[in-house]
Amino acid sequence: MPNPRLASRYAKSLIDLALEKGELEKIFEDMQWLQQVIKGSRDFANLLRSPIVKGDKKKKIVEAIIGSRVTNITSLFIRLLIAKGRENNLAEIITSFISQYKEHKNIYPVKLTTAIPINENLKKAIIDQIKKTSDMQNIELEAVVNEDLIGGFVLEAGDKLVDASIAYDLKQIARQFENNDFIYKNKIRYR
Amino acid sequence: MKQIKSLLEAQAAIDTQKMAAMTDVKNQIGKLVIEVTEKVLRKELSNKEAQEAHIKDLVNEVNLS
Repeated sequence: MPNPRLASRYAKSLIDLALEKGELEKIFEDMQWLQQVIKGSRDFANLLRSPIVKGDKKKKIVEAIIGSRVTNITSLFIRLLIAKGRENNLAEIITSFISQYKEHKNIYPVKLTTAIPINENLKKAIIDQIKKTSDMQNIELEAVVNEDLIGGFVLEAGDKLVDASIAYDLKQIARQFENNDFIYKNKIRYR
Repeated sequence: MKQIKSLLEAQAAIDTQKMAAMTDVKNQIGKLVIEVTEKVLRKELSNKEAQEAHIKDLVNEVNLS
């Protein structure tokens, strides 16, 4: 069951610990790697979520997979999760960790949606424009392609959204042709 | 007198109906135009250069603050 509050608390304490030990970068790498593993293997994700597989069995499997690939803190952290029966939230905790890491580093994730893939120069121009008009200086661009936009782009940064797509423009224009004032007036008159 | 009054009322009702019908036609034409526009734009912008040029024009209007 998703539990964002729990995930953010575990992630926060892992960040704090990582900062205290000065191993934030390494642990961040571990988390990215683990996220890849979970995304790449449905079986592994299901295993973590399974209520049937016992804790110590999960622990053995997880240890076999991560082995010495990760730092000591990460492996201890995962062992702690399993001991507390929270391993089913691992994927969420990782997502939360990564977003908190970016927050800590002042990295702003920006989502750019376009109708077709665009070249790097254009992406850079967009990033520059964001830097110029906002206080977001460290930007991580995630490019998404969605044909429904027809043209233009949509920018999502934090709680802000800029819709400069053709689909949006057309929708705005289409709205003008939706109501018929005269029919509405008639209804009131005959009531 | 009564006849004139009902005649005027009928005239007003006809006017309203006429306007309602005209607006309806206008709306339908508008929707058709948008559909056609969408198709044309889709075709125009399926060209990568055109698409990128269009985005380039828009970039300067972005203001996230």
